Amino acid sequence: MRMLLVAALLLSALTLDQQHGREIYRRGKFAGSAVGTATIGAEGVPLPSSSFACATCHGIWGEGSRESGIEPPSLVWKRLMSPAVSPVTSRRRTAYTPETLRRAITAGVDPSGAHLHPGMPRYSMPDERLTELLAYLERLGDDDDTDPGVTATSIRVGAALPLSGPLEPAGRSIRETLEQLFADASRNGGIYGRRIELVVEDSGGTAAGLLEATRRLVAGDRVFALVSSFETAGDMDAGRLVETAEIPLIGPVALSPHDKNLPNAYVFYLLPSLYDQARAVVDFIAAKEAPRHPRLAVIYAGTALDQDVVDGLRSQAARDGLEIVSEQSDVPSAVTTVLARQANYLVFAGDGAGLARVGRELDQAGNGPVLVGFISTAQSGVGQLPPSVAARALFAAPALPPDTRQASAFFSLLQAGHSPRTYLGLRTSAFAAGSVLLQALRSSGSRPNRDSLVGTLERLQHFETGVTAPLTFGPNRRVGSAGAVVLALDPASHDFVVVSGWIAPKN
Amino acid sequence: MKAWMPLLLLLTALAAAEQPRIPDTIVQDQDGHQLLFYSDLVKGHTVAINFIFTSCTTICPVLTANFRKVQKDLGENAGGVRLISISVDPTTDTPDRLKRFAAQYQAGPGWSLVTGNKTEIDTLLGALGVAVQNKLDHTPTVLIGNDVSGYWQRVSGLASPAVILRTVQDAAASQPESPSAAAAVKYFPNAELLTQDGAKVHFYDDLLKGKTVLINFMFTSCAGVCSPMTANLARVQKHLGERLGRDIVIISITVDPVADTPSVLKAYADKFGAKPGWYFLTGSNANVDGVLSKLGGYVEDKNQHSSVLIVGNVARGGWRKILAIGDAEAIANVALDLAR
Repeated sequence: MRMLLVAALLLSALTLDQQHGREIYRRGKFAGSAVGTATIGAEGVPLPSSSFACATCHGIWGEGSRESGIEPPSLVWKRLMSPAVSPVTSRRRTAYTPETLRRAITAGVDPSGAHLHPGMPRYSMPDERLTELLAYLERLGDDDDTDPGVTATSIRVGAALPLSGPLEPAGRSIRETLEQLFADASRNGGIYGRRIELVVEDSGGTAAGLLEATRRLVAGDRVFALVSSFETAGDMDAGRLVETAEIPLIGPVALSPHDKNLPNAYVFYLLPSLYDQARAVVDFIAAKEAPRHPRLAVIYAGTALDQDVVDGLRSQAARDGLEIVSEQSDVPSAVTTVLARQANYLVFAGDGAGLARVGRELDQAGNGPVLVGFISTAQSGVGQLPPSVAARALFAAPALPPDTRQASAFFSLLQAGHSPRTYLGLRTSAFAAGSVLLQALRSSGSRPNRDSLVGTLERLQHFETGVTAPLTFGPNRRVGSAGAVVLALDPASHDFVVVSGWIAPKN
Repeated sequence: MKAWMPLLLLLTALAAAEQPRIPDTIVQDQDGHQLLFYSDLVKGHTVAINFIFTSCTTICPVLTANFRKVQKDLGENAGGVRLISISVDPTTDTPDRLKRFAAQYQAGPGWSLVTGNKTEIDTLLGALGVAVQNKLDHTPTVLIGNDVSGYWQRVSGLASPAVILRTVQDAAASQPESPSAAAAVKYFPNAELLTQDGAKVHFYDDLLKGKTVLINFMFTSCAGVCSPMTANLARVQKHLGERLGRDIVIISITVDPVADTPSVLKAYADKFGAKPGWYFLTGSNANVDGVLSKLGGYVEDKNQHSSVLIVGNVARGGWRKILAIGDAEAIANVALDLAR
């Protein structure tokens, strides 16, 4: 204990110079841009230093590495400042001094004048930056060289949630769930002895508010990672901000996340896109009706989310050999047109009010097609459907409704916190995001750093949260689940009943 | 006539020798274009191929920086040389990832970074002799070659860019030996035979390889066409001058190896004033017959042997058949033409 106290007095958090030096060491960058150039060989082409960051070879804590027969040495300060045997020439080199270390970085020679390994670039950067890099090298890998938001006793994570405005209850239920989950984990030993602290900034539930709240969390590097931020549809700015800041964001609440060609490396979504949900619905209908080939129709409102549904339907209908006999934008005559085309299933892509209106029109027409809606966008309209339509309607959901057996961890947490069973969808989302974060932190070792957190998340396979489909990420995969579960309404209780297992769309 | 069938086959085999040794694996480049690896990238070109993956930390940045330097030194459009980087982690490396990687190292026109289906890329890597079990252990090899000349070299990817560049330039400058050099190796027998001096020689390796050759069939006790044919070749030898024995050789193979021992052939050769570069060949029955069959000179009855002379450039693959008793100067000119 006494020793620890002494150590704590001797060491201190990194200075600003050293923090700059860390960005140079880890990324080859200063303030987000390449700090200079790196050249391989005396006659080589100068390339951006960001393509040759020190940490990629020498390790994030300066531990060195080994790959394809090359062994970049450890850069721990004490070792540099002592004589050593060169791994290249097997000759002894004398101890480095700050001056000879500068020369090694810029001219590729060791303190004895011998050439360093040909794989070690010669760097060119402003003197000021080189000084910062050396200042950091002196601290590299010591006990206080921790990532932002990490101390010896805690890991601080942030969330941007609506804590004001009409969405305040939603934000509150997410915060409550995360706080309960993290408190529970901290009570049970935490992450390698560190407790998890949650910092929440108010987004007001708007796109601009989300961006500002995220900026406040990111600014000054207060948090190690972000979790469960509440996204507004189609807004990308907050995502771009965390990508630039290189801070992982786990499980943002979003309606239809996509894996783009080159997805945002730092944002990990849990629940499937509406595109994949629509594909799963088509597979469900095709399997249920086989060997018949039911006729599909779709009425869609104008948002990007609705377009995702239409795209998914088209793609999977073509795959499953089903015909879409009518595609109508959501105008007054749409239902009449669909009825004339004698569709067996009418998929509605739009909000709750739209779903209720289409339901009423179908009711007036009598024995029409089965109405299919999406919980993610139209849940509010489900209760307003006329009984004749509701009795036959189907709904796609992005996750299985939590049942008390599979989601026992979730429900016992809810019970222990005396939380009401409201906003269950958001509470389960937050629970899943927090669980993924805790799992990834446990797997990435006793020295948490953002790079290894991202790497650990990328390797997550079939992770069971109990409240979502099993989650899998990958180097190019940032949406953890793809598919849907299909629900119907119990005519007596008006509760949802599950009529399918988890459906992963066929490729 | 029948005896010539094998030669016709031989000529066909040489002409069709552009069989790619490198498979036509379907790959995608950094712009998402679908390409056939051999046909679209290698065929008819000088190429330098390295092996990378975008999440590689230690070795690939160095390999790629070296390629960047080679590209610069080759000049605009890499001087027509194709630089190719094949991902050894095709599951992760999408075209978009390769594009971002290419940008990091300022890869310019003429440099293709390719990925594809994992199974197919693995097959391609196997065909190129760089199959990898674990991507972290992948060897830093650069494969440099000229598809036209058939010149191929392997260089360490960690060699200095100057060494890589020199090898690329050697490959680009290598003579279009033949589209068929490889086929010739496979086609011609390499059986051990004996010269008139009693020296053991391998038919292909020691006599044919890289040379322009004139081959006839004879036997010393022949009462008919052999003497005039050999006398005529003696005149051809004069017209070949000092090229004989250097890049052109005359080969007379006995169809009677039992009687025609080296010493018998030696006496026969001396009688016609054969100079160095003119070989009279005999050997075991099996070996001689094997060579004769392959060249279309094998006959059941030695008196039926052909009086045709086969003239050809082994390296480049041009072949003629002419009567061995034709005009000596014309025969020499055919050989000199082919040797050019």
